[in-house]
Amino acid sequence: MATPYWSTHQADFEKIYSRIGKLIFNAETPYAHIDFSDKHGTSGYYSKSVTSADAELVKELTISKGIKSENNRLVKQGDKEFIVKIASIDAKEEII
Amino acid sequence: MVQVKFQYGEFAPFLRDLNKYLAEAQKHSANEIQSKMIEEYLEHFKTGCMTKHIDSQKLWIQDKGPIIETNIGFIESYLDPLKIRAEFEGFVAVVNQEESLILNKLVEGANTTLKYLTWGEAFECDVFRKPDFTSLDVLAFASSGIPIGINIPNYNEVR
Repeated sequence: MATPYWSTHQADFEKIYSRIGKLIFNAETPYAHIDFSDKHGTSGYYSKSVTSADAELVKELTISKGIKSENNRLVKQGDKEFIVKIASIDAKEEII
Repeated sequence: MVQVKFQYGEFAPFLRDLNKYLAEAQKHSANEIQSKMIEEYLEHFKTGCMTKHIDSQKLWIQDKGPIIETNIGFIESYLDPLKIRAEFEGFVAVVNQEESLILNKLVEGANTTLKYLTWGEAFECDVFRKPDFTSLDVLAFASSGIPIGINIPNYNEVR
């Protein structure tokens, strides 16, 4: 039994669902498992090329800067560049 | 050589909205502690500084016996393989006074009950600190899942 929003928002829903629906229900490796790519898993907190070793390295560096990671996610660019994306209204960048 | 860039500003449009409504909610604080707590929330979401969220939770635990219970932020790290990155959640609930009284009896008897548990001292904290155990009727819980119970704050700095 459809809600009234189905008639007003069906197009929006189909647009989003067509991009993510298969991923939600995919039980194949690596989609069925939350973990790093080198452990055959998927995670929303890390870009695909981030390995478990990468994450540990960045974790040590981040802790040494006195920064806690609850509100960030980790993206890898190229071979040796990492971006720690922190949730905030204010924008700024710090390189270590 | 590895380069790490800390880039602030992720989710800014959502957090701008969040802070707008939090500031409105602050006007309806039941007491000074809640108002100060929301001040720390506002600063945390504005700057991305985790210390501010820890400060908000130090105030949160000082607010004893509120009628409206809320919490918001990047809290539970179950979904991160490294268990350091957390998921956003925000909830508003009404405290169920009668059921909370019953739960409080469990807390009162805890020091005795703990002796009967089947695991040894290695699995328990040295000193049992009484939590504020409340039963909540949830009005809204914004997150990927709705838990049956929560134990917050998670910060060792605050526990």
